[in-house]
Amino acid sequence: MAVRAILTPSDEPISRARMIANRLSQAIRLGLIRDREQFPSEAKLAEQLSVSTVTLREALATLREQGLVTTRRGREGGTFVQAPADPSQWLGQRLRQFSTQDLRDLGDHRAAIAGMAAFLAAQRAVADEIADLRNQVERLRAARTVNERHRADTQLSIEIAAAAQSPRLTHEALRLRAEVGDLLWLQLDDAEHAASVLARTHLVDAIAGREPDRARLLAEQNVTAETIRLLSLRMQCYSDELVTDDHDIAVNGRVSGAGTA
Amino acid sequence: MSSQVRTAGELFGDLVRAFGRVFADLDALAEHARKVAATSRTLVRDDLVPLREGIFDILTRHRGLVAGTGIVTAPGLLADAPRWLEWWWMKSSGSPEELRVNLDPAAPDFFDYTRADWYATPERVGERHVAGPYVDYACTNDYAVTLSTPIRRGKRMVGVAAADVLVSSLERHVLPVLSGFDRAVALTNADGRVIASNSPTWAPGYRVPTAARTSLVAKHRPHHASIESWLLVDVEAS
Repeated sequence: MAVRAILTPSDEPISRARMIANRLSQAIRLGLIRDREQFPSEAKLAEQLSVSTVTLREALATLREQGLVTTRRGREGGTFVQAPADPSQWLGQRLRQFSTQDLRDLGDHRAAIAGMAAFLAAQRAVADEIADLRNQVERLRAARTVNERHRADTQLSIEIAAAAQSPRLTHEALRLRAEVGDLLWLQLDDAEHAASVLARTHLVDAIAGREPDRARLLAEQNVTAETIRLLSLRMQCYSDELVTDDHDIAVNGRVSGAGTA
Repeated sequence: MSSQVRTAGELFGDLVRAFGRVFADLDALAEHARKVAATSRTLVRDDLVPLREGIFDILTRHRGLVAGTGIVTAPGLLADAPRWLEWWWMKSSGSPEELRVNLDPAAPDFFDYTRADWYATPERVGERHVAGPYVDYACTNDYAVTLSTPIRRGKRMVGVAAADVLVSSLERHVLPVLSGFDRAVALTNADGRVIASNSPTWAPGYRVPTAARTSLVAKHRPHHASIESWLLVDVEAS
């Protein structure tokens, strides 16, 4: 399953800590872990997430920096959730984990994986798989909330990689999605959502039409469009002065969150 | 060529028998699950714990072939979990490990197994099924086929008993035979998807075009439907 897929021992401890932090902050953002809820003990939580306590501590430190948890000492102490009041503020917090260089690089990696997956899927997918891809596009079309869109689109990209018959590409697609989290769907208006559904419809058409080169090109273009959108949002964070409280870190050429690396 | 056709027939026979043995154990597991489901009015997850002994037995007996096995429940069967997998996989150390997946429909990585071929087909057809090969990102995280058999209570399917077999394990049985052929041949499923081939240009996962799917093996009748649809095709000219 997905959690195990992204938590293979081959992943570096730092990036695992970052992924755990992303998963937990996403869970908080989506309300799966409620405001003011207390986390289990570090040992217990580490066991639940199948990570070492060292990795977990790093992840919790990142969440503290983001203001999503507080830790109180003493008999009534522990780590408690602090849900953000304003979702757009949360987007800024999430985005500021990435430099524009990080986002560009992540986009390159995603385009390489998505492009190759689409290319191979156009050669190898069988009728049932193509039918599943079409259903998945319809699910995405019908999705209304950030969470629904995130889930449907993630599932679509995973199913394309699986239709390529490649466990490695699928694993990589899952890992990259975990890294991106729900960033791609935050503050996405209905027109943007409709455009993204149309782009995916064309992609699945190319796979169904057995056009590998076209499928690759469309998949790469989709990722590039998403990357440009993220980059422009990230640049807004700078111009909105959201970055001021991180100034000391930014001076060192790193942004908040990435600073733990 | 005729001796190779016979060998191809034997290969099918071996595969059918190996899968038949796994299916026999899955049927026993399904029967045990059916009895459990029949005893209590409100079932909970703990009621499935006695099934573990049979699950571990399958992992041990078919070690090297079966990578993971267990049962999954139809939505609503258990009172304390809408969906549930009592599913175990064999660690390289030889001890079974419980599979943990996200069964929360609201989660981004929600695993909706009711849509998986190995669940949906037995539900629709009411019979044993061999799904795949496919990228099994839920359990083995590898390229696999899944053998599944329905658990029935009356006419209703209340779950399936299933087992994952890695394509890489299958090829250890198949390729020694195929490598003896003097032509390029590929074992494929009904969709023409290559499971194993002696040709480097037809690696597992490739799709043999419909026009090229001529079976080397005359129509034969193994006693379950799924593997019967598999083909051994001549891909020398393709």
